[in-house]
Amino acid sequence: MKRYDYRHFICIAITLGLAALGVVAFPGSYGRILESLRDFGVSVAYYFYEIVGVSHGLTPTVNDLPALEVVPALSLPFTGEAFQRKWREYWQVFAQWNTLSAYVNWLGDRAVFLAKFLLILLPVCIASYFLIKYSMSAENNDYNRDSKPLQLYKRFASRICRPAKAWTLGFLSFIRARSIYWKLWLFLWLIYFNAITIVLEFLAFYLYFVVSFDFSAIYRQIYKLVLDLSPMLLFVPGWCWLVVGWILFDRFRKKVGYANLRHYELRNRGFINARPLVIMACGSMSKGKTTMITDIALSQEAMLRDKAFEKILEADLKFPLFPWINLENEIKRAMEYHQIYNLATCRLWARKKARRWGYFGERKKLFDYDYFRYGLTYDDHLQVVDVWEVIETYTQLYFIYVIQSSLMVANYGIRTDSLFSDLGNFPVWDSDFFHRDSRLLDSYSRHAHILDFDMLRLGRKVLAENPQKDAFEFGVVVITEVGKERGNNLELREVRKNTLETNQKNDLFNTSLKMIRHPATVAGFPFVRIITDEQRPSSWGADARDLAEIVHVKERSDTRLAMPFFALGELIYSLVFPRFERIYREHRYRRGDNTLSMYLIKNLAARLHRYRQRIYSTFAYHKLYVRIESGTMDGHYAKGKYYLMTKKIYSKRFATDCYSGFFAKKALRSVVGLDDLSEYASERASFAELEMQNSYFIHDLLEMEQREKKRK
Amino acid sequence: MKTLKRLIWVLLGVIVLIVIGYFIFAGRLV
Repeated sequence: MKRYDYRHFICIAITLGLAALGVVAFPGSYGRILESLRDFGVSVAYYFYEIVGVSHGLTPTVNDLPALEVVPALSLPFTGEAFQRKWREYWQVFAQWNTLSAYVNWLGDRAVFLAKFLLILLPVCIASYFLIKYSMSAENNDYNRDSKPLQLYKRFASRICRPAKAWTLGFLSFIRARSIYWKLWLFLWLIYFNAITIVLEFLAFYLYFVVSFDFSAIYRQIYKLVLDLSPMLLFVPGWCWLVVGWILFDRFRKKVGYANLRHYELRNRGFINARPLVIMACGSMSKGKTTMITDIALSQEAMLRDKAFEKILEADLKFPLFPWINLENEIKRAMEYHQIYNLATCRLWARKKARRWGYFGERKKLFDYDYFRYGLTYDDHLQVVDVWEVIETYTQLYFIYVIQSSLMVANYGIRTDSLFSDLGNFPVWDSDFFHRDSRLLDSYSRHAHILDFDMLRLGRKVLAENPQKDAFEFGVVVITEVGKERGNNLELREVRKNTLETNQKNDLFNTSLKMIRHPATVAGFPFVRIITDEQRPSSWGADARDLAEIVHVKERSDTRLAMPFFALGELIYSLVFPRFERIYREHRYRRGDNTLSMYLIKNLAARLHRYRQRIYSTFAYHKLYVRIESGTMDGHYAKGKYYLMTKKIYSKRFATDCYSGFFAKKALRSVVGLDDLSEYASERASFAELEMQNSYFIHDLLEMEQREKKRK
Repeated sequence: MKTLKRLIWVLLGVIVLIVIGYFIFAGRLV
């Protein structure tokens, strides 16, 4: 015999209870549904009769009041004229001194109520304070032992609270899995609160109004709307409205927050677009220059894809009736077979297709394009282009657009999380940085490609037969600490051009940089950008640096929040957290065991901290105040701003200590740590202590001293 | 300074709520 889950009975009981509640508390709602159906039907008939112009004797019922009397939540006047009278009266009452004093009295009453509430709360607070003080006074080393009250609390929680919570969560997932129950309950509530009636009445009035233009009936509809809303307004208690209001308010401020973040991102993109192909960010340590170039690279990657799409659309519209989907499918196939893997092979592939079509001019060989009907050329009043030229361009653009790995090639790891959605037709990229779920990062993240510097060398290569040496055509090249890689004229003084070894003078890196636009240009747009950083601009040789624009990071603002109206949350946090910190430090200093008071306080503080941290992780941003200078360093500066949004740039994007792997290896070779290093015996260093510094200066002094001794 | 700023914002919010409350209160008297 099949056993039923007992929770079905609970759900059935709830359903029956709700049905009974409808009969008792919302008797008019069923009637209103029928009335609204009637109103809607009559209005539909009225609308069609009037549209067709057939004479009829129909009187729309949408302006009739509900047959069953309803207790209104607001005492609105019955007619529009009466409302106007009341409206004038309202402002008179509003401006009266008596009203204000009555309101102040009312507020006073509420304040007294609040004071009483606080009066009850105060002894609890005082007792808690002394309890915490008392618990602090004890000192012990009972490591991780729970105090008696905490043991009792944990027993209570594990026997009552946790099972209750687990059952509730289980019941909720049970309901969610069986949608019949919650849909039925939702439907019942929609009936009780007249939601369906309101929608039907609105449609009925709309159909009536568009043919009658009866403006005088609008007030009646507002009156009826208030009557229909009354069951809900009167049934739902005040505190529920407060909760609903808070939820709506929270949603509103988050929406504004996201809108602000997107606005800042667009401003950043404007900033990047105004720069030349090579950008160099400069600034002292911890100013955020690597963060800035990573941020620029992320935006640039998204912009390259957007640009590819824009250009695809341009090409598409040149031959609007070309079956581009056939071409795209063939490109995808060619990519799978590795016939297409860069822009040059795209061009080659398109030309091969053109040649094949040229033999017999078969429609099939032109991707089933009906060229007899729609033509083979396009004239933009600048030039006439052939369909195969556009196909060649389209192939390259589609290739750039459809590559699923990152478009970044960098000398450090950068995580990218643009989402590629494909239903088998035209794929769509989602490059929104702010709505990503941190729990799912690993499932869709990709990382920047490893930058093989040989790809950027036109001359000698470090690895002569490097298979990757010609691989780079387009994308975003990101080089951090470029000066350390390339050096400047002073540092390369001893380096000779005519040697067998590859060096900065014979690898023609700079020439490659100067020409980098050429292989990357498709449809007149260069799909390439070089983004670098260094502490000082002059660390990078002038020949290459002159190509760039230098962005000096001058100042970094404090953390700001893009979400408005967080002052109350901040205030509570700033009042609670420092106090918790003080108590907690004291507790950790004195006691090794766990107490109930600290358990509760810490839980509360951790929740508050997590809430604030999550808000900040999503909506915080810094402003970077920058100065832009030409790479020739002519001393002319332009001021600018760049926004670093936490959610975009600090969500596992890159490691600020990207070279720490090397230093970790170095540190592991050491057999001593900071704690093992010798200390000075006093404030005045001894001779032996000075010698231990291995300093050039001290060595010079010691040598001088020894020379003096010998002379004597 | 920051706390003061936040306090001012919260107070402003409370004042806005009181003003809205007055509108509703006057409406109930009509």
